[in-house]
Amino acid sequence: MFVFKRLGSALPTLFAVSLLVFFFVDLIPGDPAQILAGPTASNEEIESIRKFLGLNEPLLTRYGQFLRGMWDPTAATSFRTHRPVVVELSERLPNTLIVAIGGLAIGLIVGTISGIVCALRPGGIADMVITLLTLAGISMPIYWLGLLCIWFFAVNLGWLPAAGATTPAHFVLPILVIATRPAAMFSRLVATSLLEAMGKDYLDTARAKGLSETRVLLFHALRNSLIAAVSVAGVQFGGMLGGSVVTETVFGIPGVGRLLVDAVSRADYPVIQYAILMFAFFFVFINLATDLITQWLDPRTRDEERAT
Amino acid sequence: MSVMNTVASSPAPDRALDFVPKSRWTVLRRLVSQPKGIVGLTLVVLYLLLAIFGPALAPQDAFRQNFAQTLQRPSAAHWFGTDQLGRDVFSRILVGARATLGIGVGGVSFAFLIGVPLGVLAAWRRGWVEAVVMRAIDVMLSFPDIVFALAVVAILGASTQNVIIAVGVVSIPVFARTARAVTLSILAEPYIEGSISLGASPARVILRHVLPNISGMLMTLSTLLFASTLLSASGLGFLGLGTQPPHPEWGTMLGESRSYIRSHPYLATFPGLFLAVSALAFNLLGDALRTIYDPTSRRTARPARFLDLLRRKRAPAAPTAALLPPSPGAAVSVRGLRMAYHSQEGLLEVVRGVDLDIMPGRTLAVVGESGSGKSTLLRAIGTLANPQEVAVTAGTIEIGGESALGLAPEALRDLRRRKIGIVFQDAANALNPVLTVGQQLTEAVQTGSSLDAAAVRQRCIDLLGDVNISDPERRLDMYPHQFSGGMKQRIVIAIALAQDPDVLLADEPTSALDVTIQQQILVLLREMQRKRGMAILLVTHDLNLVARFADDVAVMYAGRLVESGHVATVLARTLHPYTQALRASAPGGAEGRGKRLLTIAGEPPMIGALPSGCAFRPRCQRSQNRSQCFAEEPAIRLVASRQVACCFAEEAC
Repeated sequence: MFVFKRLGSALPTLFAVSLLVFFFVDLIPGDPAQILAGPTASNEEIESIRKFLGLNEPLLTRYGQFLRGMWDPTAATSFRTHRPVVVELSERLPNTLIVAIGGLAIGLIVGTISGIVCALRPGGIADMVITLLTLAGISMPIYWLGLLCIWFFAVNLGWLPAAGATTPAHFVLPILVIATRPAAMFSRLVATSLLEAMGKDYLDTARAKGLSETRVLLFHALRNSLIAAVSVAGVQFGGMLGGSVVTETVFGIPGVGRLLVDAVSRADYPVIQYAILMFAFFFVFINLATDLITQWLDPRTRDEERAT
Repeated sequence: MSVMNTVASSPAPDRALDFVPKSRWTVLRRLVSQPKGIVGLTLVVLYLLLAIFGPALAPQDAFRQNFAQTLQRPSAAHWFGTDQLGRDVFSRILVGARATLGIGVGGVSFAFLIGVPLGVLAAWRRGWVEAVVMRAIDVMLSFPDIVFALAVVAILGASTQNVIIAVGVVSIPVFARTARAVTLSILAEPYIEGSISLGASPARVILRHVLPNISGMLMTLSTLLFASTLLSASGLGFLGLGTQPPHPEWGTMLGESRSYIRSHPYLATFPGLFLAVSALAFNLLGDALRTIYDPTSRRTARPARFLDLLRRKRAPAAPTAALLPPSPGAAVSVRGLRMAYHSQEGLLEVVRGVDLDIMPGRTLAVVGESGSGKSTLLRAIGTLANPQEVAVTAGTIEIGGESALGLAPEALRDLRRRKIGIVFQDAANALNPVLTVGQQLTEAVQTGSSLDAAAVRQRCIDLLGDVNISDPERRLDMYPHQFSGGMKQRIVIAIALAQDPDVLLADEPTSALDVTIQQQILVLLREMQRKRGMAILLVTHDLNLVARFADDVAVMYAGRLVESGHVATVLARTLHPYTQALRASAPGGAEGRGKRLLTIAGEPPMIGALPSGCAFRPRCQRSQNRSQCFAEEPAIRLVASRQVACCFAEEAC
């Protein structure tokens, strides 16, 4: 039941998102065709651009055309390369996903472990060091961290390639750099929720059984904390997809983020529209998925759903 | 965006209200009392000064190109070196501070001025206004923030002003959502509902009550958002879509330095450093503000432990009176036990010299007001006192002849496994909500036993049957929330009994249950005790329960047992004035039937600020300011077959 309710609330959001992205071209102050053609263009040139962008069609036809462009290669082509936008996007998507998923996984692992360490000895040396590191991780501009890593690991030490996406080694630096933020977030989250759980009687019930402190912590306390971590993981994953805009520029990875930045600086409106639409759809689906997973993981909410 | 989410999702303002400091100076004082706050505030002030005076301080013209001196290393003439056009990097950073921080200030103000009124409006008008605002927020939050900012820049074109709008628009939903959540909970406060129903005008309620109460939360949010806005805005600059050259801005400077990272890394070092430290400064300040305005994040407010260690006072020297030897054969034997909580003021003693014995098969009830130390005592005997909170400063605890203090982890687990079972007041908290009852029982049965899976399951079923849960086989796969309160408490008892403990510790096991269930649980406990010959330590505040259920009773006041002995002896004629007062205030006491219930005069004692002499003196009706009561803590004496700590106990005989 919850699944349908949640899906039901996602659909209007998706519709509104698509409308917003569709009207993107109309929001540009002035005539987009005029802007694209440049100040010296003749009226015929402007008119041909208008035709290319489909600006002369009635609104509803244009929206239908826009939606068709999501799967139909002929419906939308890049203004600069004249290749189908769908093709441009799908070529680059794997690179973006590899970096985002890799970064999230590393961040999740590092963050959870450091969060546990903090919670084990609050106020201890390790806690203080990790707290400082998480603050630094949250405050660090990842483009600067990326540049520093390129300089140190690629230029100085020569261990890893600096830019590109041809071998697995090319992905190591971007993944590590992009993992800093989720690592910091998870570390805080896990530490806070573990400390909150520490005072709970059920941990003492478990201790009285004669279980080891490690088992009490990992099996009883962490299990509850990780349910909260799932929804944060969803937000972080979306954030990392967005962050690809910057990371891919720093590391010269041909991905969707890079494509979007190039399209913005060259005013390639069809590519901008569909790239943004794709990011937004991803974001909505991830939020949907994490909501459903969280719901399912917690037996209390799982049952409420069954009951209704 | 997640920094903000953590703020937005935990407004908890209903409790926050009690903590909201009254004056600005209080805020400042609390801020600088935290290391985070003082460092953050100092850095933020420095950065703001830099933004104001930076351009005037720049030693050289930040725009003058000098092709004879391009890409110079840092030197005395050019502290941070020169860039690809021969411009002085140090001067450009000073001049760029205004644009960089200005974008942050502009973006946050833009978001604040649009988002907060929207959020307050949504909370105030409810209905369709709220629905529309929330739906719009949903849609805006469907875009990753930097992607949304990019879209705005793509529409408006790349410039400093448009970056402000872009990063501002991105933060509107965060402000609107938080403002709505906080306003909603403040509007639900009884005193505000009252003034609305008295006809106060909406504008007045919002100005007088809502805004002052949400301002702290919004200030925290703005500070934290400032850090992330700064980073997004500079990110746009880095991508070449922000402030346009030749105007300096730290992100744009970083973007320009990218081509020279191989040969001239220092070009990227300084703008990046200034950027990172400014974000750090605002994050530190925001975190410090959050600990002031959001009580759910108290943890961060706790002073670092090493400071504690410096401050910690030694425990008050325990009287070195020779302790009596533990009673042979006792299931539990406690001698001269003293315990103290760690606090900012040092150690606070909560248990002040307790002696007790429980023989196998008997039930000792410890009775007292909340705060008397009875639960702390129970946890210590159960080896479950949290060493980070409370320490045993003197005395001994023996369980079945083995010392329960200072054990190595393995020995401690073994002791818990073989000898101790524990039942808590609230069964709902004592069971792990995300594990099935079967998983939790199995764990207890399996620990330290070598039964195979089928035997373990059979034992679990038997245990549930023992505590009178019908259909145990099916119930094993259910979660705690699927049981009623009484059933949950039975399950907790089943877990406690799973390892055949010698001692069962029960901390107010029935006070969360209704009366009929209480009786069933007590009967069950007694039955289990008879079958297994366990000793039971029962902590309660209910004297009637003691009379019906316990063999021995010990009355606890301010960390000491002031009267203890057989239930029949003690309750037949109470000698200590505190026990008498408890008796008189308990409903349904044998001699008190039909009389008015009395309350105990005066305030319960403050731990750490006990009166001189007898701790009960200020509330005592017998003392009448006799000098002996002021002079010393009364010794525990044997009077009329029970132990009692009152100088004038004989007066009641």
